[in-house]
Amino acid sequence: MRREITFTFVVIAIEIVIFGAFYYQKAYQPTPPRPNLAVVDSFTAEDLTFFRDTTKVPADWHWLGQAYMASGYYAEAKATFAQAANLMPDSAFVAFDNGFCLTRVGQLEEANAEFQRAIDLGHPKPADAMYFIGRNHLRNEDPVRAEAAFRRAVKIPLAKFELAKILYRRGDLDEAETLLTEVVRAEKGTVQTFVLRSQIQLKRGDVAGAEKQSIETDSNWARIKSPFGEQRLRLMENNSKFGFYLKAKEAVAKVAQHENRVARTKVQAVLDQEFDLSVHDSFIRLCIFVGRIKEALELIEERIERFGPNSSIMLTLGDVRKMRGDDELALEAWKQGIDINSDKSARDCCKRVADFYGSRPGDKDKSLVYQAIGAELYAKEGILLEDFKLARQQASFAVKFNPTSAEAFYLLGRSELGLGMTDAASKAFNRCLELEPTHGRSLMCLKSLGEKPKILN
Amino acid sequence: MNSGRERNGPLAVVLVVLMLVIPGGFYFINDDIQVRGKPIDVDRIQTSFAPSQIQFKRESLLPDPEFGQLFANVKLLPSADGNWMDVVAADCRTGLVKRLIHETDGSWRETVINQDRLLPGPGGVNPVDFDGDGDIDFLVSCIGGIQPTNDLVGRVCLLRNNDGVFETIDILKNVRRVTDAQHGDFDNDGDLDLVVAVFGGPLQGQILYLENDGELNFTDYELMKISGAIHVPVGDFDADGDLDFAALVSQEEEEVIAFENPGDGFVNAKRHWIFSSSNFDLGTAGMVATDLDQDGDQDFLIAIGDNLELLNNAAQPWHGVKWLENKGNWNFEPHQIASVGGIYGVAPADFDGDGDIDVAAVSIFNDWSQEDAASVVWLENDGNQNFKTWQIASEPIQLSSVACGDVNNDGTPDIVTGSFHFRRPYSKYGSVDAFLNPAKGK
Repeated sequence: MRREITFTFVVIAIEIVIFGAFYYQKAYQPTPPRPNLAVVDSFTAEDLTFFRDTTKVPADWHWLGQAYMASGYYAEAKATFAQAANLMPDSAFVAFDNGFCLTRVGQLEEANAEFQRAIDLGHPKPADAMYFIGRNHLRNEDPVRAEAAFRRAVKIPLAKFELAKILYRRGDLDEAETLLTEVVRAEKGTVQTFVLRSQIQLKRGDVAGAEKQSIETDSNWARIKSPFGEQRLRLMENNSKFGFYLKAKEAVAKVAQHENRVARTKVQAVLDQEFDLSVHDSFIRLCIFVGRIKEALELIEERIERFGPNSSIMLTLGDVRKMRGDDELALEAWKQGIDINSDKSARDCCKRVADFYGSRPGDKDKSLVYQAIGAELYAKEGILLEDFKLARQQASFAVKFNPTSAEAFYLLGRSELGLGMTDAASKAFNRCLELEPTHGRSLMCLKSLGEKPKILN
Repeated sequence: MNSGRERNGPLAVVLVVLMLVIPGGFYFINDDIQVRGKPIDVDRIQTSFAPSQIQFKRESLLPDPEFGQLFANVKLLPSADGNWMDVVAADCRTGLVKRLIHETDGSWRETVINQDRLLPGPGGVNPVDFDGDGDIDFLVSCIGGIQPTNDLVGRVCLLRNNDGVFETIDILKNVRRVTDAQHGDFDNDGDLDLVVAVFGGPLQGQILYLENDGELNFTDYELMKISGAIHVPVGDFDADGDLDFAALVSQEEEEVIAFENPGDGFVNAKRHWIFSSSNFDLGTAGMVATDLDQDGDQDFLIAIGDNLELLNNAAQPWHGVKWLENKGNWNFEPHQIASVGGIYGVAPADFDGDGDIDVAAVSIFNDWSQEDAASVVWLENDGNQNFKTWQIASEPIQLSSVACGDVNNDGTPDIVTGSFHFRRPYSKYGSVDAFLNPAKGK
């Protein structure tokens, strides 16, 4: 019996030692770093505090690192990811995130070691990791190692493009151009490819060729798909999963769903914390929708006070003033809106002004002029979007009703150039130059047509 | 024997129960164990520096703001009576160019120069007698607004002084965002021409040369189609007697390209790549020309600290100030003279009066979660172009522009800063602030 009792004592003692050690290890394990939450809004501070206080298992550390990084606490995120990596040494995802975070704080060698570890652990996007390794070598001013990394990541068009750029800078123009052609095959019409091809042509001394490529950048805005863009999107998604941006998203959604009473409460709670443009714009829309015009007007004025005017807010200001019956003040706002941007809001301002004059006897001519200005803006957008047919239609209208506008003739010529109507284009550019002899873009386009090359090298 | 066994019976039961309870209990409390460990250590790049031994005194030139201000550029010019210096500031938020007049009693009075119309996001301003009539006009470059856009919102305007009444004249429009316009008589015909940095949208920008026919009619020449041109400082960089200029190109190039004037302007200018980094995330943000080493030629100071690619910016170890030393024949040697996060503006001056050129620098994107992170520093030159960084202020934060000059006419150069505050944290606001350098002996 004594022997059994002794044995039991020993077992209990061993249990106490083992579980005591477990307890100690758990209770006194390192805790996540504490960022200075005084510099963020209280929603974010509250959620980050909750995440930090409930971080226990390795996956919690991983998430906390992501939350810190999304909130801009990069140093704290780095320490948190490092702990996550200690706890989950076999996780390729943790290694990748750790690499990305280390990149953000400029610890490039350490970042590359983590990206390499992510690859070795079987991360599903090894080429992305290799692309980031290449970029970090570039950050370290080491194009040789960057080249080696990009060559291993050529599956990604942007890695191929970076490689082409390194070769261009080194003077290997032939290989750079070959690679660029392959990039274009994968990602047609991307702006970077036109820029780099233009630079290559220029280095070759082919000024006309360079100029032709340059002109393409005006109407090709798409960018080559980027692994960085994907990570940025992920960060933004993480950002809207908690704190301020979650509340902002919920508030905007309630406005869109016309749950006006709830929306109002939520919007005001968010704006009490921070002046967020999208939420504030939603609040303006909400006030207009429920007929609180005076409040809407005050909010618009507050927005202009804080961020200055743009065409969009001037359009809304004009509309709200019109609702209040202040027609002349509305007209003033719309006219200001025309002059600020050249986007859809600016065009809508034009339309409002044209309609305003159109409704007044004796002001039909003014209405036509504003319609023509609107058509000019539309033509600009048509050119930027490469919809040259639409651009020509609008520019033709603009020159008809505003025949002293040099810009309108330029736009007509540019759209005709886009449609391959070179004779007509030349005529329009020349008409533009008759009205404004120093119109640089017309001179440049004429030069690209091989006529009167006044614009330089 | 039996009695002994009976005596030990309850003890045995207790022990067996204990043996089972310990692991079971641990299993049950495992999730509720309160963690009492210490937070893990965080190491970060240096955000603050030794406090300046020169005690600069902050003076706000405008009333304390309630929210972030967007002063993109500040410059100094002599006051009307010539005793003080006034400040001209480009207010990107309101579309106004403001002159802050330094009154004789030392106070400041705000006036608006462009009273005839608002400007679309004035981002740069230069005081200059542009039309040669003996009074100061203002040359303004406009970025169109603070939101990035591909729209043709950029403009170069001249605020022409007609006996104290300013008329706004558009010199250049229908271009993308313009970040800088600098003047000079580049073609030696007696009037002032312009070089212009059209920063552009994401990847569409230009460097332009605008030749003045003497009647303020300009012919624009596109010298280069390139995105991200920020500043185009002018100077005689090859010491051949005519004015050249250099373009700081950020975005995805991170280069400085100099344009050599053959004597008749830039139509046939030769280009020199005088600085180039393979770090396409370098974040160059501003450049000024100055003879930093006082060897008789023009060098450049570059502010490095732009970091806008993510919602939250991060100070980088390569941020700070670079000096491009002019070695002659269009060779420039780069030197990192300070490492401070998020530097956006630099200006040279001899702050300690020891005869060499020091540098003031302001930060827009330091790590503002650190209460003592530096927003204004000066770099003390030991006379051999070795620099020590001294912290002047950690408030206001998010500064984009700096100018140096003897604001209060006490014989020492002061520092004036412009605040461009549009990101977190929404505190420690500034607008236009002076950091007054105490006069020697005080």
